[in-house]
Amino acid sequence: MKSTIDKKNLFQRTDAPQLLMLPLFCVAVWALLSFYESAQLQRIEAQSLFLSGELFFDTCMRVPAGLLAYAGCFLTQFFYYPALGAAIFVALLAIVYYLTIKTFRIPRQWAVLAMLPLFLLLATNTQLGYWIYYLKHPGFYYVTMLGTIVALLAMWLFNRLSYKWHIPIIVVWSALGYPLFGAYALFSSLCMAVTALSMAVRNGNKMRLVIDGFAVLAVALLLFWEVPVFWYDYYSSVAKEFIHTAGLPSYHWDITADHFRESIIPYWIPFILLFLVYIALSVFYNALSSNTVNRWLNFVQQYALIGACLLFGFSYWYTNTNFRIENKQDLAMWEGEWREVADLTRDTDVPSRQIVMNKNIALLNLGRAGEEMFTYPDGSAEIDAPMNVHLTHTGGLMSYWCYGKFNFCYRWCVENAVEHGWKVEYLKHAVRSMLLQGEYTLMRRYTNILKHTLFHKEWAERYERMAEHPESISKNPEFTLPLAMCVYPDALDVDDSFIEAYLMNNISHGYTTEHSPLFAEAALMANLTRKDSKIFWNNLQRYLYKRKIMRLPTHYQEAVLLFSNLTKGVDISRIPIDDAVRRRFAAFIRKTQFYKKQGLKETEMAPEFKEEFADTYWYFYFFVRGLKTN
Amino acid sequence: MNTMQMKRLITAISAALSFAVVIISCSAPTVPQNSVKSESLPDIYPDYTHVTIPCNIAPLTFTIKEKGDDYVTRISKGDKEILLGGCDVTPSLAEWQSLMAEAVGSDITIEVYARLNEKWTAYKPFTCNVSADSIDPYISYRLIPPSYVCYETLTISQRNLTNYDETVIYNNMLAATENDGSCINCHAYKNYRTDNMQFHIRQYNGGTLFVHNGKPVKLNMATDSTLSAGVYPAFNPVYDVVAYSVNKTGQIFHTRNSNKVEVQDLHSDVIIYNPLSNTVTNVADSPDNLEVFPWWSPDGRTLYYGSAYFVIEDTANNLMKEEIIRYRDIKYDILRRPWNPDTYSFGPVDTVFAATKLGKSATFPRISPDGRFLLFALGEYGCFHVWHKDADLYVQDLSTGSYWPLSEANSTDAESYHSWSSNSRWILFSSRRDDTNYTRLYIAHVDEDGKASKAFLLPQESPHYYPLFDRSYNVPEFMKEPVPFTPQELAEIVRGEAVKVEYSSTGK
Repeated sequence: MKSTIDKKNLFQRTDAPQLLMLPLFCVAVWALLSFYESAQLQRIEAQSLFLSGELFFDTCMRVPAGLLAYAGCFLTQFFYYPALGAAIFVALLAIVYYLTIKTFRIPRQWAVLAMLPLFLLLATNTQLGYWIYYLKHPGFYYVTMLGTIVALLAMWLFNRLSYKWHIPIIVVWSALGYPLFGAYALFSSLCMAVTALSMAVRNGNKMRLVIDGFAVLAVALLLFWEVPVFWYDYYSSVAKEFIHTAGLPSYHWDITADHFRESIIPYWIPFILLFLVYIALSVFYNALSSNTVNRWLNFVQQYALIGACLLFGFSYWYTNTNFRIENKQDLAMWEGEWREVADLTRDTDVPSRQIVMNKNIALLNLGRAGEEMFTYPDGSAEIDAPMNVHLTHTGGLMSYWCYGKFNFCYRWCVENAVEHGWKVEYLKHAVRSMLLQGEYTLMRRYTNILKHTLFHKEWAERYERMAEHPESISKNPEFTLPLAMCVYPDALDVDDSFIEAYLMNNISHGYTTEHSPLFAEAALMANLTRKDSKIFWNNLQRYLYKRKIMRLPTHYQEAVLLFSNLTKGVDISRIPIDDAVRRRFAAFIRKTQFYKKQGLKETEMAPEFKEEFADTYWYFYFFVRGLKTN
Repeated sequence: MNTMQMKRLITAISAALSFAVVIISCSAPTVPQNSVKSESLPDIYPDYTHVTIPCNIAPLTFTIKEKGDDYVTRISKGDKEILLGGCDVTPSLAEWQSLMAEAVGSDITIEVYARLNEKWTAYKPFTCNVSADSIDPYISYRLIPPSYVCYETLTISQRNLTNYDETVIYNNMLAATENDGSCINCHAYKNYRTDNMQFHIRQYNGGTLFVHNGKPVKLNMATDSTLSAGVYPAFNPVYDVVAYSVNKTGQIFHTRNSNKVEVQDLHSDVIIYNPLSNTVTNVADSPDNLEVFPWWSPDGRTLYYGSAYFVIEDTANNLMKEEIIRYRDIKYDILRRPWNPDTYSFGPVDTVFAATKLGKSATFPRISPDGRFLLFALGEYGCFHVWHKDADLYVQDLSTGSYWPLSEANSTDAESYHSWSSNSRWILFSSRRDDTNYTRLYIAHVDEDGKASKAFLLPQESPHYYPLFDRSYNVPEFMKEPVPFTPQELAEIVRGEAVKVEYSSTGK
């Protein structure tokens, strides 16, 4: 009989979903993470830190659930190689599946139920988006997964012991598991108690219902509340309000906040559902029948469930285009792949300011700003996140470094580290900033830390070698732009957390001791971005003087024509302007006058100009309005 | 012999062999007989060569940075010695204390040997002088990342100097949330005891946690008649009053200078707080002077403080911008005013150290408990010398007025946040000398003539602790005893309502 079933077409079998789904799920998740989310995984690794040695371990263990954080940080570092990290992640998902089956004795026909936690665990991470910069929770990508695995192991042991051991197990597990695994120990104790109650109810023995059912549940509930209270006195770093949620991510806890319901609750749904799934599995522990009453009904049920999971999974996958571009640009910038940085900008219709800034830095590096700067999509797309996302936390450090503001880059490394803990990205920015600042002793402090990581030791040693030979630094093409931009006197200044506004204002006003050619061009670019006609001619003059160019790039010609038109009395006869640019500007003016006569406002005119003039400075000047930097 | 017995025998033999291997590999180190003498001192971290240490200090642990395959270190006094192998030299507490007892008032000698390619090198031995002057058993400090504006987890911690035990006095996260953070600062004690002490909590659940005669309470020290709530505190060692500076402080950042940040007072005055009447009174509130960092003389009858004359000169349209442009012009002298404890009144101002005449700025006056010396930080400008690389520690002999730098204790980087031990023989201070950015605690002996010995880094159980530790040490203070409250007990008070302090023009 068995062999007959086995020979059936796989899709005709009632247990086909569970036979197919786990491998398919694992392969699909691995592929999605490795390829589609590759840049994000690498960014997550850069936003994490794991150090060898006792101090890091001790630091993690200073809060409840510290062991999960420590292990989470350890595993996160493997996202340095996205395919490897994704493989580890998927392997742990498979372990969760296996443990769920074994712990709750789920029969084959219902094994698809064990897929539910996998989708939910995946969703806890794929929903993150900009939270990767803001979660103050070391190792967050793995903590839920590891907490679930540990909880399942404890429940597995609980389910295999005689009911006489139930209360001692729950007491010991809650009391000793809490410092290591936090809320996961507490929640799993509740699941254990539900299992015990469910079994006692099914057993039908009233005495057992009292002893093993209600008593165990009462003990678990009591411990759920009292164990963290007991441990509170041993941890001096956790407020009372948060002792019961130790180990859970720190999405804003303030339930009284206006935006909590609509913006924050969705992030908790996967966690809540995960807990409810395990509570449900605890209720039906060893109670799901292995007999299939209706093969087709079971088949449909299983596929319907998987379909629902897929829908849930997709709805919880953060796919914001700008976020993905920013991550890819960041990787490319570290590698010096400037053409890629610029080209990525074309993947979005309305870029975030970070994307625009990255693109401009890339074009400055490529020497193509004057020809290409306004040929890309421009704008200031609203950041798709429930919190205020600042460039100071995302890509602003890179901007500061590229524009030669080493102290400010370093300052934000430290400020961010204060709030979110040191991360690989901050350490690397600190190293690069202090290297170019010439503060080698301070730089070595951070290279020394990076040398305690698994994958960044060589990078750190490379920078140490540079510090040993400072004469080689200026010859390194990696540092051409930042060193060329670092030509300003010391002053006391503040950016009010608005990096783009600060940089554009500072650079366009030319606060410099000597205009290097790159600085002169950056000043002109910043000037055009700020649409400031008052300082344009000074910046143009410096640019022309420093660059000693044969032909003024197109965008700068466009700006000359525009600002001379707006600022009467400026003699531009000695500035060579291409005939094609003149003709195009004349056409632009004619078209403007035509639509003005028709009574169109600027916002109404924009679509009429887009096809013909979207690649000009004039279009940016008149129709790309209301830019809001973050 | 059956199978089970055979298994047991094999297990026993394996265990014995393993034990023997462990014993052999852990055999006590011996001083190499054939070694080549080197004329150079060994490169060790921290640098404990030729330092003076208190007889009751925890073991000095260090790591040998010389290249080598094996190391032996001998720490000795006469016939007594500690022999240690490996590049990390970490004497046990018991052995160390025994050696210290033997060496009080004299030197211990430390010899380092390194083996490289089968050749042993004996580095030039160095000594540590074990002073008979003991040191107060506890210190406390704030642990904070070298941050500028942001803050998250901060602790005020206490450390037992006779061993490595460190405990938290208070952690700001105990009464703060992610959305509503709080900063903690300015811990201070009366006469090195903890039954009268205080620290501030800023922003969420803000106030001053004030312990008066063993009873903690949270105070709201802001009044309509004073510039702000109390900031930098100084307990009067004799009378029941506390002096505070009140400050409107700002931070602004260097775009290139390695000092990184300037902490400036836009306005600052000095007040005194009377815990008996729960009132504050202005002491120095001249609008053209910035007064800060008060400190009492040991008899409690003179108040010292830093003061800078600074007025707007129309170089900017407001005081803040003026201070930013002319930040190098803000220079502090050290002043003092006699105080009458019967009338609570202050006498005329007297300039103790006129730093401005030297073109410099002196802040953070601290008087030695024996009343002999004024210890202060001297830099080119400003009041917050912990961010100034040129800041050094100086002492002034209050009986003669002569002053000098504590050259042996100073470094090329910032020194500040200094305090005297209760016996006036040790100073504890923050220095950025290790990596230029993280303040670490250094201790130096000061003899009866006010001459300091070479400062040594606060020892830790692991010599690798500091390079990876991402906190700075702020405001170190000596204590004779630990704080008797748990952090959780203090948190309960911090969460509670603050008692409002009233203003009194008489101070009573």
